[in-house]
Amino acid sequence: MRNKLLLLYLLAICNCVSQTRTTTEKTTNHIKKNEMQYFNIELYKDWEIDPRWPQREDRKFLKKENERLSLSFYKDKIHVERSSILNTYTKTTVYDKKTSVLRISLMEFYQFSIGIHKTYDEKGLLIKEVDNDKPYIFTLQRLIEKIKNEHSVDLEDRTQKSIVSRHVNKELGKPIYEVYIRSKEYPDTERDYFLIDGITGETLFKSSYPTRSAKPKTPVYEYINALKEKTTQDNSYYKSYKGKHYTKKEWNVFEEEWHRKEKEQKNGRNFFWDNIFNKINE
Amino acid sequence: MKGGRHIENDKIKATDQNGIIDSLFADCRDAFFDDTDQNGITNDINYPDHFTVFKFGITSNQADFEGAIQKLGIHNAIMFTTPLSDNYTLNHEVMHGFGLTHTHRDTSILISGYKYIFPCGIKTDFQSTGKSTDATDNTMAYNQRTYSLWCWQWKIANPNIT
Repeated sequence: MRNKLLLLYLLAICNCVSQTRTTTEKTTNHIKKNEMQYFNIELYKDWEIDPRWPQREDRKFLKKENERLSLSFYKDKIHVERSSILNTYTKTTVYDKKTSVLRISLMEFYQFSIGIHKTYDEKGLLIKEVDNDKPYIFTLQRLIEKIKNEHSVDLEDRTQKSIVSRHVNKELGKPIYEVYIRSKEYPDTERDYFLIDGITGETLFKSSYPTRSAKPKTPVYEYINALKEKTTQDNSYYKSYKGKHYTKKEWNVFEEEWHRKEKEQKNGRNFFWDNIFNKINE
Repeated sequence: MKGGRHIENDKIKATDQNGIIDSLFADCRDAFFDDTDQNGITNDINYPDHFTVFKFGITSNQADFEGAIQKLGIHNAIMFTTPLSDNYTLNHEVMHGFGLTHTHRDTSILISGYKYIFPCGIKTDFQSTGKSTDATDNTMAYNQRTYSLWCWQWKIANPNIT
């Protein structure tokens, strides 16, 4: 029975995947038909007023169990934001106020857009798709797993009070994730910070910061400054030996080579043949 | 329409290599003062002596930065919306604008406003660890929950109090 249920579940997933693919293929034309969606206030009739926010005629805040909803009525559109007090995802949809047709649909994790940002025309036809995840070869899901495995923190759990952001950093020339989690040692007063490569998933920089500071330091700049300093150090004059000037980087290579040769000499290797083979390989 | 020198990667660029970007404060205030009401009167005429607080519904380029005052004693602050936005930072920054300093030490040269010095709830340059239980609950302290002000602070914030 259990196997049958699993099979049914897998079939259902496969079906969903196949639908997604079909949609993707269709989107290559950029303009195509889709199932039109409309704003329907009736969907929220069993939601209650969220007393945490002031209610206005053009701005409503509703709640239902752990879910939260904000409805904003503008001159020509209706903005619906659906979130949860338990997880860190928010779904935003924008509808045409006159026709109630869906015009924009997007998903956010913390405060950055994820997945496909879809834009529809006034008739509800899909006219534009932007893949917010495209630059991030190291996917959000893998980031969540990494932080869970390495720091036992679930970034999808809002109650754990983490902060995540991401962007393509121009100075670094690559996408990055920035993660702040509560410090293990001082959870209420300090945050641990991790700068993670959006392509490889490597942790590039980590540090800790007080939760409040009169002179806040921006960690990504600290990392970029450290990189610049290292490059400057590596490429500036370091020392001279037997009349030759070395940069730090060159000196390290020279020193490493010197130690290697010394070790090999001690081990009784024959450098004559090594050098001959090196020259042949060059 | 978004854009301009204070926007970076869809966020407000509040900090750079040198710390908080001072021009953000003045630019927000100028933009507000240049705006007009329905009668065409600019806000610098309507609100010449008001305390301005500019609250952004998003984070800044430094995702955990809650907000700051332009300068001690200047009635202009900026605030951001972070996933951890609290109930204390706004009060704290506004009181800086009214001239109150911290109740813990965070500068090497103490100015006149530093009347008494108490332990800080978090690590500072002068305190290697946070002392949450020793720190006070004063609005001008750095601690988990801060909500009180002392009588001598009232008089600085409002000289009309005797």
